[in-house]
Amino acid sequence: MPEWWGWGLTLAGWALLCFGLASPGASPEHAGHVRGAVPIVATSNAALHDLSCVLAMMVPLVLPTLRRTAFASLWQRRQQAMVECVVGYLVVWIAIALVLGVLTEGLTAVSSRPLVIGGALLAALLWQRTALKRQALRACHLMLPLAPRGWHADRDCLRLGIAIGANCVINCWPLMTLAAATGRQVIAVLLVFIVLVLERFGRHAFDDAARAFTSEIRYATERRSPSAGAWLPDPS
Amino acid sequence: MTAKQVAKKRAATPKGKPVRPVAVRIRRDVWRLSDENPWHPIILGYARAIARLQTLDTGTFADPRSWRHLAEIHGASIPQNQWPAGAIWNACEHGSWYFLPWHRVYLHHFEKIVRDAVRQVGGPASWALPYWNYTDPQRPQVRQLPPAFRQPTLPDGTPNPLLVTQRGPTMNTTGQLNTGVVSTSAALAQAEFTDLVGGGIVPGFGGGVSGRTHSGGIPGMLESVPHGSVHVGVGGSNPPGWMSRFETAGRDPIFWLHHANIDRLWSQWLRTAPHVNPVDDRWLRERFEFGSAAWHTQLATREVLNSRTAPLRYRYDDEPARRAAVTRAGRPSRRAPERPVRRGPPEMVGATSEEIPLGPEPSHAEIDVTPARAAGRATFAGDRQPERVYLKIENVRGTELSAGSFDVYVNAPPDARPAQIAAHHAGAIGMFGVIESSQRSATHGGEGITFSFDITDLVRKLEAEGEWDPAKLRVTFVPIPDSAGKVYSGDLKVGRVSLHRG
Repeated sequence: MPEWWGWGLTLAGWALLCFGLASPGASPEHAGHVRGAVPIVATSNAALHDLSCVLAMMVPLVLPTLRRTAFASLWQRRQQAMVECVVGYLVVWIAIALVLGVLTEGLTAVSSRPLVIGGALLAALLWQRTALKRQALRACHLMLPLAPRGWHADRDCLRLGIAIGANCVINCWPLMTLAAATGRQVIAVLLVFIVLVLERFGRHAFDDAARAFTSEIRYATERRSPSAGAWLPDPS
Repeated sequence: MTAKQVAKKRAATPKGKPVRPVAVRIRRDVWRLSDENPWHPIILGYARAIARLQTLDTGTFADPRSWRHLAEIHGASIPQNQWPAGAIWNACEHGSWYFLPWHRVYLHHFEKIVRDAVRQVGGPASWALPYWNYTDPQRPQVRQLPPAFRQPTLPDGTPNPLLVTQRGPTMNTTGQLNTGVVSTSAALAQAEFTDLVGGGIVPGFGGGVSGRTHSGGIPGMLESVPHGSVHVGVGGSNPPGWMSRFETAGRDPIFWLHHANIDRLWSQWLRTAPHVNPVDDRWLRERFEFGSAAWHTQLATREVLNSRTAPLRYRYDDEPARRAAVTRAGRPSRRAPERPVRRGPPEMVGATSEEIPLGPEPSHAEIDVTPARAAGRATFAGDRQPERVYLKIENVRGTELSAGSFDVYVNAPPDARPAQIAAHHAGAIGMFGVIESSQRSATHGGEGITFSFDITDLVRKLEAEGEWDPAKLRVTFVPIPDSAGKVYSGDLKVGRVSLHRG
């Protein structure tokens, strides 16, 4: 599982969210207040909160692409290729997450939070039925040819991450707006995340993830068991 | 007949002669039928049934029995906002391990409707869809379309619905498919149905593990050749006729006989030990839905693995009459033989940096190869497997085909003729679906099609002959001419060629 650290990023994102380490405040309303009162601390805290949401929700969606990127790269640059790909992907998403955060907070300030949430929910429902959304969803599984070495390889991996990120934004922006409109409350983030995973990978998504982990554990156990003979080189 | 009636009849039957409540229909070789009579009742019944179904092609093609409705299921040429309510169109599975079961259910759905129409036009009561076996070295004429599919009229002088003009040059006269187009040897030689490790590198017989996909995944060897190559061989590559496009293929009556043959090849592959179907629940439980109202079919893969039992109840005429030989291999046994399982896909050891155009002339690609880091395959059982070598042809894209198929050669001398480099032949790639999968849509990502070959045996042979350089690989693509012997200028490109070991 060469993309193991991607799971680590995901867990880190959820830890930051669940334990309130990156919370913009005790409540969404309070968050807006804090932002105004102590601008630098509040803004950095809100940015950290946005980043943790992106890590928690969006990194899992790109893990299959990272895995394919690794297997499509020469051994010595597998990790580099995945990092370049995820950097391109996260640059797109972090920029969008910050914009959505500012936008929803601004709208909340001039109207009311329930109204913004309702509007985001309606937009998400309508967006689900558009051809553009379906196209973007399909293109989220895109795999582009990667040069094997040199700056061409760096460019291709970065370009793949940006392309996947851009399609992902087109596909998911209303749901992410909805999560942002709730002040990225953990429960709302979790619900949106489940919808995104099921939509992206189908009803077998969670089974597949469990199967992958089981397979890894089985391999790790049997690889080191005396009956299995000598240790084998780790091919991942 | 109810279960009670069956039991009663069985009780009245002399011991040792079990009752078969419903007959197993036999799908027969259309060329052997044609040899008996070009207008054999099974062929004539098919033609008249199609004419009847075509009379239902009215309005938005809402009748699930209409010819156009049936064709649009495979690929829709009608914009989605003009589909009739409840239509399940544009649904074909390609580049996926669902390719074979989806098309089996599709054929079953089609066969039910056509059989009813055959009955209405007075055709044989035992009618079953014939198949077109175009791969028989003893009978080269079978690479032509069967005679009835080339005649302008039926025996009674009415227009022949089996003839469509949207086919490749000379296919409606004396044109023959190229031998490379109809080859089944590479597909039938596959040891595994799919690549359970993932990574999209090991090709398998039936397609890579995937979710539901209209195109764009990794096709199995059978799906590429002969399936895809025959599609474009019949339809023509430039301009692409009906058989050459997802959206129109089902409108050509030969489509259904071609797919019956692909379905037959699946059964044939399973009759050879140790070939087995996947036992993965994701594959077995996947359901496929067709039609509506009284003509609605919904079946899961696991329900169609044995074609002799309900609901399918058919076999091919080249299969043993006794049931056990097929069902034992076709059954999704939970006791499938334990096989060594790799932990990860084979390692990529070299690839091209630039796109490779596939034009009317042979194209070449050169790859710098690095040594593999992990020699041999690590397995759960702790042993090492002999290393395998795979050649991957990635992201084949284009809007205009220069040829329907290409032969792929490894380390062939640059200016040699194809006949001189047969020993370097790695396989063939069919261009069916390339145009569609190159376009971005709700069903296509726009990345084209990727192919993969296991070239282990070829590499061993080249090594033995001193024609294998472990640091350099040369790959040559040679277009296969169409039935008129022509190739064309097009805009096909290979995104990348890569070599994998492990």
